Amino acid sequence: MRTHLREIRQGLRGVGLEVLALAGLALVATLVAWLVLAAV
Amino acid sequence: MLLRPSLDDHRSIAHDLGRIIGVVALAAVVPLVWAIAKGEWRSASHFVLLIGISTAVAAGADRLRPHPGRAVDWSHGMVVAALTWLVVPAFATIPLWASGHYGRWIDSYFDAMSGLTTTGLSVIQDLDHLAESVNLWRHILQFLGGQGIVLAALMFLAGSGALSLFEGEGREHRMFPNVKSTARFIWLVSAAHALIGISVLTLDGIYVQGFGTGRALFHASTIFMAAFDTGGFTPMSTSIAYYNSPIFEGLVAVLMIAGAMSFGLHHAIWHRRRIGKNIEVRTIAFTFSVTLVVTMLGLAILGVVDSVYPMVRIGLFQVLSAHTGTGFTTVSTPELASWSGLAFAGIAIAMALGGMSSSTAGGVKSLRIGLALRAMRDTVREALLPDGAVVANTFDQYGTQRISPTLIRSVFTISLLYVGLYLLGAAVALGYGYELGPALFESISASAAVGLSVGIVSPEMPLLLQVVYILQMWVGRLEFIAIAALFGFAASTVFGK
Repeated sequence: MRTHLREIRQGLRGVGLEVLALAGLALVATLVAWLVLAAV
Repeated sequence: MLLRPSLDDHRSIAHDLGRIIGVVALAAVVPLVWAIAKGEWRSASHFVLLIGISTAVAAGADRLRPHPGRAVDWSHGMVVAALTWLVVPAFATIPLWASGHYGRWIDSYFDAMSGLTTTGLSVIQDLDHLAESVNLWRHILQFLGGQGIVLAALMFLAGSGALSLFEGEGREHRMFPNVKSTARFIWLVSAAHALIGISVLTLDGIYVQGFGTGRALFHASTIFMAAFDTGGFTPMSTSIAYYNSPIFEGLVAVLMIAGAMSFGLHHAIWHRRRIGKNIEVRTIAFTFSVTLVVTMLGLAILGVVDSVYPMVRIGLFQVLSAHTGTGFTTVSTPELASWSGLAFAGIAIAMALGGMSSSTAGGVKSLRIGLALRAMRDTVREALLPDGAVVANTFDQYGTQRISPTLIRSVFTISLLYVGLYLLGAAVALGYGYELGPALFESISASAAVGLSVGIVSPEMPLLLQVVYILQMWVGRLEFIAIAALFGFAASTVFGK
């Protein structure tokens, strides 16, 4: 049971990291979009 | 000299294939229950038929149990994998074909193959009025195919037993000791994502989309299966545009990223290993940034978008969908077809490159791209540095690994085979009078298991082209070698001594 709980906790952290990754991507994309629009 | 396989080899392959068909029978219970709950009796009878036929075949194959103590080798696994992706769609197509939403039988086989290879191209007619249970089945096929290919990749592709082209996967040690622990880890990762993904998407369905609970759960489950397994089927014909919600698109994007991540990376994250130096992570970050910039630039030049928000919303989602090999779209097919120049190139290149190895994404894959770039850099370095200078020739993937000549040869071979496959489908479409751009786009989409379409794939498409796309999906999904193993096995059966 304890192993399962640990695995679930680790899994949740993994998903959290993925959400952060998307947030980072969105931030980069916003910056790129802003630069592109300024340039075109 | 070719050695003819023994009768035991054939029995063993048929036995394994039978067990997999048994899994199909088991999986079909889910849409059957859904059909009964929803009162879709016609569909329910089709699922009963599917379960009956596949159970009978599985039971028959079970009697072909090979002699005990027989070791299962690598090429045997490859042959089973190649046959699985060819035979299972033929069974899975029963409820699809019987639904009456396909013009020709091959159309339903096309969709079943597209589902099992997690491609997402579809030639179904009037999708919006398809019975929910059959729609659920289409998505379950993507889930089964996705989980299956990851298991096959971790078992065969990552195996070190054979000095094969699979060294292109660059793994010199097994992450998991056996099938059981591999399957268990895949199941755990998928279950964790399913729990979170379906819950959040259902809540979004109820509170943002205004769906009833049942409808929200149906949409959440189907979209989860298609997103996490980078499939690309959707319950509605307008794909993700149907929901017209930036929150929904964000949630789907997270699932697409998770799906295109290699299970090795999931494993590393779960066990708190550092991933910053990982060659796949670095390569995909690089290729994603480049294709995103190119696509956004293209969209701005075309005048499709005129401010930051739609550019990020449309550009980011489309490039993510293409690069992860999912194939969801928030723009209509004619709109996507009107994207020319840089926007077209950005999306097409992202599709061709694909996601990470041992994930459900298709395409050349970031590990091969990374290793090829590294090899080129090392070659230039060796030429420029003085004689006797030593170039490290290593890369990081869950530990430092050496780039051997065999590894590089396999990386370039598989990458070139992918380019050849992309060109082959394009050439056939050109022969039918389609323009080069759409022909190449659709061919890459089929071969790299993406599923974005600019309109060539339709119920009216030429039969031969459809067969070519089916083969491209099959060959691209199994990364060539399993197909070679199957043909080798067939050849040795006929010509062997």
